[in-house]
Amino acid sequence: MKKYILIILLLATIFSCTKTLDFDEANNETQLVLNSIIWPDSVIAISISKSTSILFDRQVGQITGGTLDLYEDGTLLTQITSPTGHFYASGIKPKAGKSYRIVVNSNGKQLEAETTIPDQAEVLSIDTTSLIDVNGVRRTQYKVKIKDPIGDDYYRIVVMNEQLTQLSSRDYTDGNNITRKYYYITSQYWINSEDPVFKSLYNSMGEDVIDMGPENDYNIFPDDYFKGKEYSVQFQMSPNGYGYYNPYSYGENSPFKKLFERNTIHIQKLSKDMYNYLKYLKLYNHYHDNPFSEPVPVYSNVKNGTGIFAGFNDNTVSHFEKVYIPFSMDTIQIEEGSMYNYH
Amino acid sequence: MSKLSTFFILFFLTQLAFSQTFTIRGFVTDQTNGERLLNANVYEQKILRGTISNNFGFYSLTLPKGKYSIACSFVGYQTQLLELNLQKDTIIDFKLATIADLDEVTVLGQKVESKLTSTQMSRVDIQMDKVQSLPAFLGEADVIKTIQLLPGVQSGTEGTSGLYVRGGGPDQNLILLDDVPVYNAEHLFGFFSVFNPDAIKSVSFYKGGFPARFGGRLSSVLDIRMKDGNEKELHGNFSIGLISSKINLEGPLVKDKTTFNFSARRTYADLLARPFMLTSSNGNDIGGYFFHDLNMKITHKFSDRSRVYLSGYTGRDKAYYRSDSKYTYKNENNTDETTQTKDKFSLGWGNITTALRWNYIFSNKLFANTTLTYSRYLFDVMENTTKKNLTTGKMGDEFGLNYKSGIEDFGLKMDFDYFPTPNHRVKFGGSIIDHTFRPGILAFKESDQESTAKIDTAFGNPNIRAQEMYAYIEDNFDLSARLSVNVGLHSSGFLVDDTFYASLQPRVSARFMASDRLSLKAAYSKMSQNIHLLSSSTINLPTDLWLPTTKKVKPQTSHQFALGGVYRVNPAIDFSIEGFYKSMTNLLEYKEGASFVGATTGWEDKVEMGKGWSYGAEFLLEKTIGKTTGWIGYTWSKAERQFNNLNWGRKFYARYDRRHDVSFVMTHKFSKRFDVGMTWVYGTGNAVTLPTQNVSGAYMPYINQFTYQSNYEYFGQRNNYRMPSYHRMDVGFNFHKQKKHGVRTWNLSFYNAYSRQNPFFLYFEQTSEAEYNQTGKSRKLTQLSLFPIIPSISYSYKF
Repeated sequence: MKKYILIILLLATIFSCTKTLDFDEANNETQLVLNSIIWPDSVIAISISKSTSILFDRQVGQITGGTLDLYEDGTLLTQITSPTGHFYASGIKPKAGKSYRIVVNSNGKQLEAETTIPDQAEVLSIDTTSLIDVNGVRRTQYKVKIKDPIGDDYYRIVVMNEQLTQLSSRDYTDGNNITRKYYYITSQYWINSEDPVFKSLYNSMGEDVIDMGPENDYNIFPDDYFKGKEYSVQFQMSPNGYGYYNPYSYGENSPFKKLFERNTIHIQKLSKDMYNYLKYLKLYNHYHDNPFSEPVPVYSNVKNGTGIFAGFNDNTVSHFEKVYIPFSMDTIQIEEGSMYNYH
Repeated sequence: MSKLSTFFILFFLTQLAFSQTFTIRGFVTDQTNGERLLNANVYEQKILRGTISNNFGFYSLTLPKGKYSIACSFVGYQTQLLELNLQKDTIIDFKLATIADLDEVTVLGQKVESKLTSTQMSRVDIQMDKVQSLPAFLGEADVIKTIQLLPGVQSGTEGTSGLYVRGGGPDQNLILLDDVPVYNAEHLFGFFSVFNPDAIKSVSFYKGGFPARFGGRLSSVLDIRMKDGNEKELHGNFSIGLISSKINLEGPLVKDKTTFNFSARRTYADLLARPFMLTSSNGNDIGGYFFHDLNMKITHKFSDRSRVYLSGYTGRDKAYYRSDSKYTYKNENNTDETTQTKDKFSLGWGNITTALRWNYIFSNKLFANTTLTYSRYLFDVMENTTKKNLTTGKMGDEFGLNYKSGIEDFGLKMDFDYFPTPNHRVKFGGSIIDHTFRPGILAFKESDQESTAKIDTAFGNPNIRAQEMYAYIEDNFDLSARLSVNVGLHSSGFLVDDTFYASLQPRVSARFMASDRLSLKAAYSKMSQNIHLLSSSTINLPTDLWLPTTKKVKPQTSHQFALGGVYRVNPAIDFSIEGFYKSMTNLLEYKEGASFVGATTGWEDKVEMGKGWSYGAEFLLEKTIGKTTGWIGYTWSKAERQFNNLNWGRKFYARYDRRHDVSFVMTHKFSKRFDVGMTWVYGTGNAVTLPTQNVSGAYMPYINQFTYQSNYEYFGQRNNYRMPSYHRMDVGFNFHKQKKHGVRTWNLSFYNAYSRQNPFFLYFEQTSEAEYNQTGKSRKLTQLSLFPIIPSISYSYKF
């Protein structure tokens, strides 16, 4: 609907013209940007960079150095110095239920940020059913039943897909010698859902017909609908969805053979900081090119600078679709460049 | 003893003191057409006791027994004098004759009510002939665009009819058409207002010092009254412009008893374009956009005491598209099959207002007006697509969508004018309005040929009912020969969802005559607003939703103080200064990125409530008489907002905060056959939010790299950047000629006469390769300007 309004409005601009204005960069101070996402068992990695002028290509201006103090529940864990702006707290693993604070001194500024690692999501059950949709495409429907604790909680659902593919090729110059190569691919499923927990976040009901807000691409939702209760989140997965990476054809005569495929459902509990960051990042992307919309700043919990320091906790359930592999993964050589691993 | 009791005792004693008095009452009308004149002066010349006519032309003047010389005057009319020996209550209807050429030497006489002497401040009465003679955008004279030229009023976006009064928002203006609230006063996204000047008799605009009879909005009241219609004979006019034509007819249905006034206006770009569209699409496609207005008023006089008015307005904007296409292809059997696809789309919005009013004079001192009102604003979108196989007759895919939102009011209003003594003009009354808010229902239907799956559902909220009521009393009285005050109390209530909000709003204004040529004024008003306009855009769109105060979202309130003075330079020129300070609470802003279109579930959680302040000084030098009339206005002001969860809780400038605002408005009558109108406006640029830095986003585990855009732009403060200043000159020439049955006028207007490129919006765009090589910068800030010089011509004929 908004597009129709914009079309009519733009018809009124048939006489319009443009000109370039001077943009005073001097008044716009470069910001120090602190970014770090942490979760249990991850290495705590923090990057500090400088923002760059809006008039230039997106280039990250590296800082020349700085010191970082890392606190857990108010206790100093470590102090790190880095000349490059990349800080690693090796040997320290974030723990569920703990609060982490970082203080960075760099370029004459002191940045501070704090976040918590939530407890793991309590998953009661996962049901799957297979169905054929209106377009004749087979989809898998999931019902993930979770038990929400008391208090404000934020969730995210991710379904990752792994495939091991074997390519067989015959070397005709050398008789019947068959060479085999193995490709391992990781990609993310596109989740399709009419569940109100997903749809209500951005008022994106009505799909493309009524352009009311962005799609909930990051599949995040608060517990507003089921605070302190059990709830079954429903969604479908489309094997041909956007983002699902499958370059191979597995027909009968195809040289490619799928050795195994595994779907892993990640039910993540997010800190409020991470939820807000993803929520507002999507809103920013959706609205920032619309001249009639008030721009949406991306959420930041960094004092004296910008960026994000946020935590989450992951709970995974795997679901094997096909297992043909007759041998151990350790015995095969995965081809370089075939791995699209986002972990 | 309470202060209230003391007041009533003093009031009673005053009544006793005047017990040997008699009352003159009647109506002030235009001699030629019987149209009643509002705010005309009726006064005794020797003792300078007087009154003014009310909104229906009624006056009442009580004087002790004796001989008097009563004068009745109104700007643009000859003053009428009447010698009278007052021995009993008397009815006198003044019928004033117009002055063809009012110039500086015309003696106007002493007036009891004028800008200089009135207790009221921050009010402007717009002369309709001024609206008609000023240059107009595309030839469409516009009341609201004339008001935008006043000090203290900002227009918002280029070319639009938004009103931002003394730092307030566009939803804080109470726009009344014959006492009925109009919720969306804009055609074509605000490029034109819904008020057809041909149908309008008077326009009063209040930006502060609100009398107690008004309430429900924080920042302004625009009180528009439609013409009653000529009592004597049939008259009218029509005009043909570049984008629209209009006609106005008025006259008696029963002479001196029943009159009518009818106006209609329609744009016709769609009709003109239709043949071209049909030709280019082989007769398959029709589409376009139009708006129309209809104003109708019937007045009937039952007796000298009783009169009834029925007035109505309906207006609508509509964009539409219809397509009917056929496609022939070879099927599996290699024979031809033809499918037909029909598409229909319409997007429209419009208001309907109706007022049924009954005037009754209960006594010489008590005038009553009872009004039944109806107002509706509706926005609707419809889209429908059907496919049919014409060879087999089988229906194919079908898709349908329907969205509606709006507001509907029924109201009852009673207003009384009581004239106990010449010193007191009391107004009291009350009103109740039943609101039905329609926050948006989306009906959605989809089916496809290949499967039996169908969607037929509706999203959205049910209607919300709320009742709004108020009662008021105000008294305009003289404390001494130099000091007069208007004291009032407006009490309002709002009932929604079993929650009742009550508000007591005191209103005070005072005028002190420092000399015959200088008056000093002060005013205080508390205002409360129970309905909110939710908008997810930075410009006013017809999709904006009116929603009520709820348990969570409290009523907006404001306190406004104003201090000023009027100096009469000469009988034709007034110079006024006003300073104001306005504080506002519970202002609404949408949360960043929240959208309201179509899904208002939990809308209260999507808004932020905050505070606002505005203050400034307004200067106005105005000349109302002579061949050259007009004004020069200057405003210095600041408007700020603070919301806990916006802009990190820090104060920021409101979008239409404007430090300097200048307007120059002039009309000059060279002769009866030729006059010129000219306006020039200057304003500090609007405050907008622009990104200043590129930021590298966080590395995100378990994310789909196709949808995750980690890098983003950093915004400093909200509204951190000032657009370039805005200035524009419009010029209009009117050529009149007396014809056998009337007067014809050619109007030639030039909007933006020196073609200034004013900012409409700003954006960053990629530089060209040459620019990049020269500056090293990959982006540049670009301004889009809407209108260069736009000439227009219109023809009108008045008979």
